[in-house]
Amino acid sequence: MFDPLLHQPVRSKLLSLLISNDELPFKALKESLSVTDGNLSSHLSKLEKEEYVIIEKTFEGKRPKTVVHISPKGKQAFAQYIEALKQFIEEN
Amino acid sequence: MNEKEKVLRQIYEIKSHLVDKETFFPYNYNACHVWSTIAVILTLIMIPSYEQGIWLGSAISFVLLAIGFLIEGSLTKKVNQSYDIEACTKRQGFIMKNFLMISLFLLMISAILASEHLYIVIYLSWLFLISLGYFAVGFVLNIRQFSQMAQLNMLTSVLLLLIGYYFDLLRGEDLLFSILIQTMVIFGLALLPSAIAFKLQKEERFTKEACSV
Repeated sequence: MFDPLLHQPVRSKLLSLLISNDELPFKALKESLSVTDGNLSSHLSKLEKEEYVIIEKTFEGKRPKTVVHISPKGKQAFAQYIEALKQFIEEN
Repeated sequence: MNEKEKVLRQIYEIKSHLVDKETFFPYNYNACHVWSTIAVILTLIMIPSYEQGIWLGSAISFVLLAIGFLIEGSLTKKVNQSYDIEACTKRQGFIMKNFLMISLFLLMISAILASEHLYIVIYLSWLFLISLGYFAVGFVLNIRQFSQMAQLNMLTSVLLLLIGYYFDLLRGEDLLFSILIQTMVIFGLALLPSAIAFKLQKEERFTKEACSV
């Protein structure tokens, strides 16, 4: 019934943050979600695999920098997930 | 946890980000203390400097505001760098432009009012319009304390304007009324914002400590 990828607290919070900010650096997401680097990377790679987010890796001088964007597919999936939550509440 | 509880928790988390705007907003609240200091200095020297000359008064106000914006800009840049953010966020941009526009308008209106010797109206315009800026910030960032402070300041300025107009005190010739106005401006634009900033800084530290445990 629910998108298993989004029916998880960290990932749904992550997509909410990306929807209200369009894009956020890895560091900002880590701080906002209060998760470790490894934990966030694992969630992001799952979302990237389903093309819900786009991960852009660049270099700022010699320092690597990662910025995460939400994709149109991610936005659509999130909207459908919200609808599914609403429907569940109405039926129960 | 059953499925309904899980769904309700998910809805609560999503709502807090999308509806209640509990979103990512990097900000160094020390900027509020800088603005409070500037507010006190401006309140104390603005009228004597306008009495010396309109251009001098405007120049001093402009320089103090420019210092405030420069410090705020550099503090924001620093805090953004710690999150790998190069430019400012949309909300930071909105707040900066909001206060920039209000300040420009206040500089101009103050010069006009000073030329008419309506010094009390200058103070009350600053109190009202800067508070309007705080009201917008409180709404955009969902900081209830800023919204409440702004409403209190705006109501106070309207009330004092009415009293000043009714008793013909708007030129600042009555020392007691002038002191009352200056006190209200310092209270509303310096003490209250600083107290709120202290509280928010304390909450921020507490959240960080709680998350690191």
